[in-house]
Amino acid sequence: MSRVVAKKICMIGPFAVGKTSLVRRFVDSIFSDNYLTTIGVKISKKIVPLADTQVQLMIWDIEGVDVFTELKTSYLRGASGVLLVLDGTRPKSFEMAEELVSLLREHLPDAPVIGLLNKSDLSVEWKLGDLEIAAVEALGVQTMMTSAKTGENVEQAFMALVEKMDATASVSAS
Amino acid sequence: MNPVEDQLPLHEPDQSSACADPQSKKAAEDYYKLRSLLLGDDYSVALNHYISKEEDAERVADVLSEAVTLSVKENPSLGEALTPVVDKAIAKSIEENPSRITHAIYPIMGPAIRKAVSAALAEMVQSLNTLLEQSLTLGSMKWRFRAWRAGIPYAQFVLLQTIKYRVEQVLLVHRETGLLLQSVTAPEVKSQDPELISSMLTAISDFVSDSFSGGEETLERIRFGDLELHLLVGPKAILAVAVRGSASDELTEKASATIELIHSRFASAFKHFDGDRVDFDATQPLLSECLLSQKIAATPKRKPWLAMLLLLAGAGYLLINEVERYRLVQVFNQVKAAYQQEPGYVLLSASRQVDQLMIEVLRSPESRPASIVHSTILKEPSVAVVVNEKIVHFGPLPTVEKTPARTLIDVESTVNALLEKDDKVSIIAQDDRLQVSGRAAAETLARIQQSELLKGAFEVLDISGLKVIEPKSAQEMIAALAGEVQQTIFYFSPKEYVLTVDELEKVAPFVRDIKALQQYAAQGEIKALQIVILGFADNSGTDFGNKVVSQQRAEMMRELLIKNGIDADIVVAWGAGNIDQAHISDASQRRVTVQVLYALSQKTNLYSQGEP
Repeated sequence: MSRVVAKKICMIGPFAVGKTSLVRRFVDSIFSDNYLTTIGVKISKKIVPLADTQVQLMIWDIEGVDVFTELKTSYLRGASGVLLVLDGTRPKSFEMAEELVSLLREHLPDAPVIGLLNKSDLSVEWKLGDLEIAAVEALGVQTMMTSAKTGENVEQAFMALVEKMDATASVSAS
Repeated sequence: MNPVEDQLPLHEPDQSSACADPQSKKAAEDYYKLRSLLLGDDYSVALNHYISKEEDAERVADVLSEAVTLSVKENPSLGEALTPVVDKAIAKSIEENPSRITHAIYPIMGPAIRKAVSAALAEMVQSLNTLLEQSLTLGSMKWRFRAWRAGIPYAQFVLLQTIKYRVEQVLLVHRETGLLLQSVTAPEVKSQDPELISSMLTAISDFVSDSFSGGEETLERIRFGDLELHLLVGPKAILAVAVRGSASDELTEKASATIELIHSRFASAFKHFDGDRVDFDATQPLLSECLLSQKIAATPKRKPWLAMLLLLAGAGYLLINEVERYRLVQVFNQVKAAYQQEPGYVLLSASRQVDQLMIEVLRSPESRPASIVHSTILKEPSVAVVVNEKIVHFGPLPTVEKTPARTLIDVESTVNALLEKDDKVSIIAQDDRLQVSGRAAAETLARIQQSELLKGAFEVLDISGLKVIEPKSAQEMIAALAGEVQQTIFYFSPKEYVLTVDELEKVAPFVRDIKALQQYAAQGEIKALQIVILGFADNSGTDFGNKVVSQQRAEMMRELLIKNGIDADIVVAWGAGNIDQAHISDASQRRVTVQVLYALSQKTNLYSQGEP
């Protein structure tokens, strides 16, 4: 049996951007239009292959943040990677990106972060231009367009994060 | 490579070898010169190296095993390097010839499989046994009811009743990441995904800690229902112990010691933890030691003596009752059959009451009285038989059939019952012929001729030899009858007032005589008739007791006479108690005597006869 390595990753972002939907799409291959707000944190598990090892991802789906709810940083502790989820149809959501990234840098200086610009299926309502994407990338965050509804880039986004985490771990180990 | 080189030998040309073509030899020499100018000494070294490869292989083969041993000692990386090779080799080997590896591992696999199967069977039997024990006993019914009343599942209730506490699951959680390092679960406990639990537990712990103590304190205990989660927080890891019931101090101490031990023993593993749990496999035995449980000391079973005694008594009572009933039925059938077969009897009804037999019969005057019939058939006087007999003159007897009756009747007693007092007859019964001869009263003659019983029993009734005695005068007859009656004395057993079988024999002639006297009174021959019954007792009891029993004896006799058709007005009964008569034995003193007082019509004086 090949080696199994457990890793904790976190989903963070403003509320209602689709964090939980992305996790459900990734773990259970299910999408539902119903919006259920996450309170506290919901944890899911999925094993993905990486080279000759199996990575057991413990995905911490942390409640969305807004002006009233601060990110509980204790949930981030020990995370190996973070998916910062933003809503491409709500410019307000990526205004918060800078603040969230600085929080991440403070608490998880070594963890790789990938920005997911979610709801890419809603092309009519899409508000995100190259300028905004560039602004996010300027924070040192690689971005990907995803859709929990169609499944576009979901698998790829998680895998990209896993690979980045692996690369970071090798660097820090050597 | 160019084609020229392909055609040329690699070695230096052998000078001695004959080269047929001098031109080609020249060309070869030129080629070698050119090659040495271009490549110099490196060429020969490379060439030599190439040639010596085989020797190298031999040399390495010599030292290979030593080299491997040395390598393993100094640097463990060789094992890692060889792992994929060995993996591939094994895979290839299995692919090529699966039976070879099967044979190789068979000695290991056989015992291992047997052990696993027997363990699984044992566990199954054990759980089945537990299930049966818990589902079929009286105690379990009680528990089921109580569990239902308490509104909790039965299994949980059983657990609560039998186990003070039980550790169901132990999780070792990496404190920083919330990742599960190791977990153990008690047998027969269904557990949820321990990895999710450990992560969620960390999240909850963080949440509680952040919300209520600003992150300084840690969550130590979570309780829901009868399940309690003990969290022992160390600097690197958290030991989460799920306990059902109320845990003892022993468990808390054990868990604290375990988390400390894990911290000290696995310090380096914690330091290098990158999500790979292999380093923590060795914690499993330590965690298993925390799977403690404490059973409630079973109360020694007491034998339910009271219930057993009660049951035994009940069973005994039923048995005795049944035996008694069976005996009663037997006796009943016996008695019923006897009355049915008795000549001169018609059985009207026979019914079985709780503990006595009620029998109703009609009988002809010449047949034996019921009490005699009764005493001949019933060997066990313990069953009360109440016979209600009515003496009637039958027409033709419906029940006595000719053929069987012949064999049944006792000729002598039948004829005797018909005789008058002074009759002297002899009887000869031969097949279906009865010959009666001698001297008898005219009434006797008539009775014999009319007897249905005799007519039924015998085809021919020859009374030609029977001479009729001339009737005496009424006065003589009365005197004779009175004398007979007064000579009849009934004796009794001590303290009894019921006639014995022997004494009962005296009743029929006695009654007949009194009836005859009554008849004379009815005809006017006797003006006044009085039967005085005197009861006596022996001197063994108290005076009062003697008085009572003597009275009972006299009363009994009076009842008997009345029952047999004697006018109640003429019978007087009187208990005399014990009139001590030294010359009479005790047995003779327990008696009933009768005095007949009468006045003849022709005479004016009251004739009386004294006590014999």
